[in-house]
Amino acid sequence: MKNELKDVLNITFSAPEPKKKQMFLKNLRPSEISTLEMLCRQAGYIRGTVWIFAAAVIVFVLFGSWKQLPDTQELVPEIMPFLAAVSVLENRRSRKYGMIELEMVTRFSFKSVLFARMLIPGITCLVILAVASPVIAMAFGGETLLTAMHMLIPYLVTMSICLQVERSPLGRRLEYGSLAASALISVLMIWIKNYAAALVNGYAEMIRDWGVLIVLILAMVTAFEQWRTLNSTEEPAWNYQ
Amino acid sequence: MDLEVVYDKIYRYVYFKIKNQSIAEDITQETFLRFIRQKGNIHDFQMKYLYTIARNLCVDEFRRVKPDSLPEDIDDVSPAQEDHLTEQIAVREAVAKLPAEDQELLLLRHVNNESAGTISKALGISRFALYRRLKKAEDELRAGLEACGYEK
Repeated sequence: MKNELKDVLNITFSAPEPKKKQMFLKNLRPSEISTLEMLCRQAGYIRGTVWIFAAAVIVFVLFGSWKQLPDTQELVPEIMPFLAAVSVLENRRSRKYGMIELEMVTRFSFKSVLFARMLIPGITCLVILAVASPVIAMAFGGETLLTAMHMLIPYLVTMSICLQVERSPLGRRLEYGSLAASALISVLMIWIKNYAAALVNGYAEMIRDWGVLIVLILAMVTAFEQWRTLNSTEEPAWNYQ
Repeated sequence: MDLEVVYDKIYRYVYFKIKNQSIAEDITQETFLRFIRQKGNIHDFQMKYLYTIARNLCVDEFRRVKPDSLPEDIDDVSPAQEDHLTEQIAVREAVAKLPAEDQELLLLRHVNNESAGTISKALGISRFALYRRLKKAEDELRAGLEACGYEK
């Protein structure tokens, strides 16, 4: 349509200047939502690959336990570092891009939203542990708590390292630094298992004696690293708000 | 999209329907509030939903609304202003001769600059029907403007 006609239409459909617009827009606030609803919405933004990977771990555990595949018990702890890396990478994605999911920053603080993004993969991991530990323990004979600790320790170690990597200047430049770190940990675990039997035995003994304490310390270290990561977002939070 | 731009578009659309400034503004604001209640955010206003809500609210209000009276301060106008007003009246008459549905289409497409997808979803018609009706409305408007001697 020619511009003249557009002008004509603009004149014809012009409306009187609204009187209450500025006041209304100034006071416009999003509707209140509960924390649980916020978590559910944030879960919707997490990439499918995270869920697929988590589901694949559970399927592997169930299938391996059902078929009594001999490597299942040992492979699961070696997979856990990747689960940690995927969680951290998801968090990185949230911080890196324009982040449609951070739209909620007006209702919840930037930190709350990022915390939710860390919490959701964490809960997923707990679900995996809750499923995998008893299943593996029952299938291969062993204590559920010990099995859980065998899986949890590599996860927490990797998580702490990955969070540090992500905050470091080098890690910020490297897109998949966390993934590389988790691969390194996983390879190291495989190497120790194959070539350092004494270390493996020592590790197993240590877990049996001090496992709970080690897990607690690692959990505190991970929580501290997450706290530091959340605090490091102070500056971007100002920019987004 | 800028919030003010969205507000203006909805307000213009509602005013076109209601022809009453204060009610148009009330409906515009109610449209926003209902959208926020349903969708929960104020950053991603989906125009098709806003138009649909506004339209439904206009239907609710339509029977109770009386058009605004004409402004009273048009007694003292210069000849140039008078020519301009005459021209505007002629243009408005040409547009007014179109069916209300066609006027609505022209407003949404050429004044509010909405995409064909948004309009077709808001009005519940197919894209094909939209293009066909839009073309017809444009042709009729051109003919109407020529008939009333509008030149630019």
